[in-house]
Amino acid sequence: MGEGSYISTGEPALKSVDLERFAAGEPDAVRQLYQLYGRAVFTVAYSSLRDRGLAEEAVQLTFLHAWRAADRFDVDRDPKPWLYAIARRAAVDVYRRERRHSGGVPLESDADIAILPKSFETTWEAWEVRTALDQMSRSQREVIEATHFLGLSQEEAAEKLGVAVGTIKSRSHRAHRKLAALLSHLQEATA
Amino acid sequence: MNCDDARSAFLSGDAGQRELDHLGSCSDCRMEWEALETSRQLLDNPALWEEPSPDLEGRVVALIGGTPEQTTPTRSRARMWVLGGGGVAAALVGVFLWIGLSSAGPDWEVDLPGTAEAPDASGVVRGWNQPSGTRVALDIEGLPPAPDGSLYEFWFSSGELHISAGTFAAPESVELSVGVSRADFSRLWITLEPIDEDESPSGLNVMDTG
Ligand SMILES: [Zn+2]
Repeated sequence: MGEGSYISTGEPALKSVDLERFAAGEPDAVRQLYQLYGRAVFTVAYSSLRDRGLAEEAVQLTFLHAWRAADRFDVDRDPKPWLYAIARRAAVDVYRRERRHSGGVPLESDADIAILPKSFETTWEAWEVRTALDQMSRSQREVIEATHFLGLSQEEAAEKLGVAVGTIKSRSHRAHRKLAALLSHLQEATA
Repeated sequence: MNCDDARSAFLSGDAGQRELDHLGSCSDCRMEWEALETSRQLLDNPALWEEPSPDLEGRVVALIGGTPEQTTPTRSRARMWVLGGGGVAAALVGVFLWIGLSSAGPDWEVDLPGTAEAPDASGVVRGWNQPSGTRVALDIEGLPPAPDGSLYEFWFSSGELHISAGTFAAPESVELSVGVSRADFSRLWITLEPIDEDESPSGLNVMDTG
């Protein structure tokens, strides 16, 4: 499935970001944009590059490119899809540079380098899921992390988080309902 | 068995026969099946659970705006210019002249050899580390003035990250300032840039620490 088949989510920005102040390079506005989207940008970079150092470099490039382009961005629009596009581009740039340097691929063979690995196909989903997780409460996110990422059973998650199994179950219900609502547009697009 | 219990057990990979039986027989759950399966797959990406280093935020802020102490308007404006915040910046950025800069000894010094594009050129970069970034002085010999319609541009680079420290036309005793730390950028180099809207390096590098 190509990324073009997704339509902008239409959901409001997490919080409004003062892009005019970001464009002026004001540190607290840069900090604010990073706090809202930095982890999601990192997720896009890490899920495609699979390397922490390269991913962090791509994050820096993303914010630098966004800052350079910010004065041409319509501040009334949701910055989320715009920032995603910049993040993906930065990850692609870093990937291609690494291919050139490590694989001994001659500079001319751009056609070869143009083929991206499979990990790049799911960056949009990764971005959406990560921004959705970032909108959840910490306790909801912890439950999802314990059961999905750490692979714990509900009993084990209860023990790890120091709460009753019933609490894990009810948090898990709420967390999954919220996540499903936040990601419903992805499910429609994938179905 | 209620729907929520069955669904969350399935999503957390905990579903036993009872839950699976419910999901298969309950009409509500069957309608939700596709969404549940998509959710499970989406959450399967291990990258979702990786966190960037805690200091990455500070590095991003420093890269763009400098540290919190440097928020005076004059400095932000200067940084915008130096880093090419506007489309015409490459054409307009002049050389920052720091009168008396050279009176204190430099914090570091590095040779800047000419490339195959400028085999006769040689030079030394001297740098002063400052709270707001870095000031550099270039001593260059054997590099002709930039031809009409072009300027030399001095870059701090780390991998693909290229930060312009400014442009100049005449290569003798150039002094520039940039809002980043030398410690983060291993490569210093000079390109010949056509005066245009493109803010990235032209690729025509004339001098390069490599
Ligand atoms: Zn049911």
